[in-house]
Amino acid sequence: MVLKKTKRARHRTSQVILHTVIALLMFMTLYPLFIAVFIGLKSHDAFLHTPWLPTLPLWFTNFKTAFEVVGVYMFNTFIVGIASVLGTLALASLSAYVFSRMRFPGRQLLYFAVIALMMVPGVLTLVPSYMLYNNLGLLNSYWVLIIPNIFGSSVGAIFLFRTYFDGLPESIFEAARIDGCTELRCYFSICLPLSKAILGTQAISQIIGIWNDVVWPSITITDPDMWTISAGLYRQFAGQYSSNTPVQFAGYILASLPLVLLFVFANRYYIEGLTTTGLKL
Amino acid sequence: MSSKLKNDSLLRRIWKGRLAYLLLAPLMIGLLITSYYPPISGLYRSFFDWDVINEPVFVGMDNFVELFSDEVFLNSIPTMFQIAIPRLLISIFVPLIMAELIFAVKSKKMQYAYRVMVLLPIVAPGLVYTLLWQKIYDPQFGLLTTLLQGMNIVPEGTVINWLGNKDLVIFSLIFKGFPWVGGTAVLIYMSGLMNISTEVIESSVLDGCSTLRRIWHIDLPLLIGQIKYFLVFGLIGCIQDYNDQLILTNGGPGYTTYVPSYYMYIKAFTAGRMGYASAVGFVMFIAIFLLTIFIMRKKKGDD
Repeated sequence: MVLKKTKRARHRTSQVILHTVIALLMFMTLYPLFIAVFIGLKSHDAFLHTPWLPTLPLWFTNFKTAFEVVGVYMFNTFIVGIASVLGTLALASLSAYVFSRMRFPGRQLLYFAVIALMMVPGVLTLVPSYMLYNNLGLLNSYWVLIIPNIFGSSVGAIFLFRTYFDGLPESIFEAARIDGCTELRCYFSICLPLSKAILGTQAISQIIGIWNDVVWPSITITDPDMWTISAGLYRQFAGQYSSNTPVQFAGYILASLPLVLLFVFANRYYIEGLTTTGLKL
Repeated sequence: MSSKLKNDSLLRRIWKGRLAYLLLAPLMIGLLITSYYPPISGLYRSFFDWDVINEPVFVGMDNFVELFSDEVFLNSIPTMFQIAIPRLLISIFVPLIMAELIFAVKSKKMQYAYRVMVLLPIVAPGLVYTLLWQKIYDPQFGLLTTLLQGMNIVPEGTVINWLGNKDLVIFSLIFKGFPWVGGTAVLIYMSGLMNISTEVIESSVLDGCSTLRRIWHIDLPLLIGQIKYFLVFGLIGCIQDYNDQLILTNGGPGYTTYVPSYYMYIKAFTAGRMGYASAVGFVMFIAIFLLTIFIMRKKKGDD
């Protein structure tokens, strides 16, 4: 009896220590984000005196000032992001369905030709891709951001989707075909509805990628009104407000808000997708 | 006779599969133009003097000869390993430790809450983190300098040039992002841990197996697939990454933080030497390719 009690007590202490360690690590990880929020709400003077702790009063005008520059970048990122994600989801899910469920000669070969592209490193393609779009006359347009993203993202997405589609029971598709379903109908009415989580995972990671991309937009776009968020922050905004850190940080917060919203609404899908697919080699 | 029959049936099978080919056509055509053509043209143009305006001129091996006699490039290779190897090890093992910590939490509710929290850092663009760390590393007023002064480790008023001192800058680039626990890797490890059946874990407890022993003998072997995944793709990613050079150091002070990919970027988009930059890309591609094969081989040997 006594023994049991001490064991339980020891058990509880170990859990308390565990929670403390995790909480501490979380705090250190998230502290930069807190910093960004409270610095973004400081006046310039307050920042000069106490840069690293929260101060009052809150200075919301920073956000207004920042939005006048950052708003355009956000709009551009929305356009590029929505077009790229929809394009990739349509193209990759249909292609993955074909690879997973249809039988035709050369299926493995074609699939390999797609997947092999995962092994082509970005350093090899950056310069010649730039020259390709330069020769096509697509620099300084949304197309130069959207087209490479749709096809580039499709490679990984097809791998992800096919692995998932292969796991769906063949008997459902069999039954539907016997009932006279065409392949396209099977894809639209059976495969897609069963795959919402994995499509969501792809959409989120792709949007994060577009949000984070610095190099490609900043070399292919020279018109400041067309930059996406990271390129704009890097090429223009950070320099323009280099002497006014609070406005700079307000801009960073604004840049993150759409991803925060996305996270709030879709983290379930994302976590589910990440934990069920189990990436490994 | 039989071969003719076989041929016939292959043609017929191709004809029967016409819908599949039709559905794959947009993908394949798009990939040919946007994903196959550029790397091939890059390999080809690395033998040319190629810029944005003039016609390309064939120069044979000149680009490669120049590349391997340029000290900035040669020195950038060890720098890359100095930065990439610690980063890679951190990115593999720190999330693993975090996943084990969260996995050890008994309350399912708290466990889920931690899983959500650990993902939170991805809500800010990576660039924003880098720019935040730029402030944290400010020599005079930065958070790190302030903290060290507050804890009396360095005297009041000390200026520490985290990114401008050539003895410190490599350390600063590796330390950036401390404590490195946030992100998707933790969740991917956790999904692996959750696949371990509770029976196995319970019986290991009954047999008096300590948690550390369980991690070593049960968890690690079962997570080896995930670890290899992060190793291969992490290494390929680390070798090519130059965002910190672009945003924080400009390759400096001097050339101390130049890595091959940043060298390529500068040659292409500052100097406008597309052919020469393609040659850098070619060399890096070969290196990455050989390294990947080496790891994959080794992996097979281990199995």
